[in-house]
Amino acid sequence: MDELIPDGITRLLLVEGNDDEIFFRNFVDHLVASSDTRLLVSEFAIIQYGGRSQLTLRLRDLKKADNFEHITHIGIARDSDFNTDALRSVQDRIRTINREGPPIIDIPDHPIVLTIGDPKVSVLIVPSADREGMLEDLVMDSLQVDPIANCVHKFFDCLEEKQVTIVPEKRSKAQIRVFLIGKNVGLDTDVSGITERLFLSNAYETQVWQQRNLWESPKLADAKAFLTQLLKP
Amino acid sequence: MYKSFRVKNFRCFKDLQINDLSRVNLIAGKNNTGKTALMEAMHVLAGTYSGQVLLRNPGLRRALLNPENESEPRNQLTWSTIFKGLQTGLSIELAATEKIPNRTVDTSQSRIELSIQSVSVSDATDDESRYKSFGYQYDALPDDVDLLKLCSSLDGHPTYLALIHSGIVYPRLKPSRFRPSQLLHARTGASARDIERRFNRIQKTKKIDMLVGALELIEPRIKDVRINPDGWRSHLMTDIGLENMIAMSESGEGMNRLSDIVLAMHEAKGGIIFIDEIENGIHHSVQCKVWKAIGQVARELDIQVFATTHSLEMIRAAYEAFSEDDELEEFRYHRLSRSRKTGELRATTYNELDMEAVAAFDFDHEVR
Repeated sequence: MDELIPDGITRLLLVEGNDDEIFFRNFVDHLVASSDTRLLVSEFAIIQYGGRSQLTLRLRDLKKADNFEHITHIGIARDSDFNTDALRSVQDRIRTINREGPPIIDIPDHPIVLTIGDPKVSVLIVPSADREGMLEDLVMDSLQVDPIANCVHKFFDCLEEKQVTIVPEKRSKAQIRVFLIGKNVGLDTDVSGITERLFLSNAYETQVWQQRNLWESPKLADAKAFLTQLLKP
Repeated sequence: MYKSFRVKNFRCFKDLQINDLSRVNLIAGKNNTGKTALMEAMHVLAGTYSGQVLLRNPGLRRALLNPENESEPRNQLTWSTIFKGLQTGLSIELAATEKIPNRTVDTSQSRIELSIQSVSVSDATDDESRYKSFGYQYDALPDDVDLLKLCSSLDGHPTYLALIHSGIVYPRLKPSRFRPSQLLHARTGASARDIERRFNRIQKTKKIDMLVGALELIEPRIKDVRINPDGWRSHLMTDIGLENMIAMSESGEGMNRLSDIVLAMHEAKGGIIFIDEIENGIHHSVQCKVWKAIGQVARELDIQVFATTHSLEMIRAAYEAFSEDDELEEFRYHRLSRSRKTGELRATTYNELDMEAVAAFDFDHEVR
């Protein structure tokens, strides 16, 4: 079994789940391929914390890890979700952990502003700090470069005209699924019948993610700045 | 009950502090991170009423009487193996903070210091001439033998220990504070003599049911345990509903291991038990039950338990056992590791909140 923080790692990105990990891993690959400056990817690791309610537990877990003393940068990515103050929620969870004793983790005042402590901490709220939603919203924003995205929007506009209600919490997830169907992803069959592979993580199977301009979308500027903070020497 | 323990310059430790000790303490860590040595150090402190504890401990006995350090002549025994980096110029310190129940001041310190005495045997013994009337006569020793000077906070006078091939020469002093402690080695089971003595005591105190109850976790058919005094050595017999009782040794390793643990715990009533590699012989399906039994016996007999393990299953089982019984505050998990920064060993303690955090992710990473 692997160590929570492998030897040699100094930069950590904490993400909610598997879809988030795959998204950020792809993003980092793009940054490495496109950046002129050296990025410390060999010292970088992504760790899932399994949803906002588990962030406290994962931080507590991390503070006990053998190599935590070598961590210089921590990034925390979190969905803004609905009817919550996501940044404040992250701050409260770090505060709870700090009350339990050293080592103390810096509490960021603003998103995407790296603190000056040791380790330095930064928070990314997706799709953005001033907008409710989740990672799928950010991904749909960035997919605007693809013509299929236009079809998806027309489909959902049509549903709205027909007064079909899609709850906000499900909307972007549904849009991603429709987008993937438009890309012929998720229609494979195996012995058990149709394999359902219409989750966000399957989106990276489409060629659209090979397009450099997708990752350069202004909608992903905050995420790019956040990752660059974590990765630059 | 020890609340914290500090060891300096002993075996592999330069200076290690372990805090937040509880009733049941599970110690894990990679190979060569000092798990067994930490228990040896605690065992020595717990048994300072007698220098003999250094040889009752199998690991230390082997190290002291069968030195493998090629720099020393084969026939020359030396205390160096118990000193960090074989540096006999250092001073070993073992210290513990203890919780004393029903006292206004609820903690006390016990501490011993071990160092090589540079003066000759005759000087040391003249200085403490009263020791001459106990046991071995120091003046019968060669004058150039190294003396280990043991200063204990429990006794104002230093004790001088000499190492000879047949064992340790030490004065027989009455203990300042008797603390029963038992150490179960990882691989060698208890001797027939120990088993007999322990069983007789458990029988005398009418606690055989406790032993049977624990063994029932592994062998549900068990009804009784007796000792067979026949033959050239005594051994335990179990009644599993057959026509005759059968020898415990005919049962699996798990039965014998658990029997050793419970008998040793009974012997350590009010004191400490050290169990090296507790998982040995115990199938994963009963590990949780074994922890519950250990927790229950420890509470009943007021024993503090220290156990080492290499097994993630055993750590998980301990968490499950103590959380199911709502007794997590009675359990602490301590991980020993080597700091990459300093190269020295250190201890990280997981309290109930920390264990809940690890369990929340289903022990998804290496915590051993």
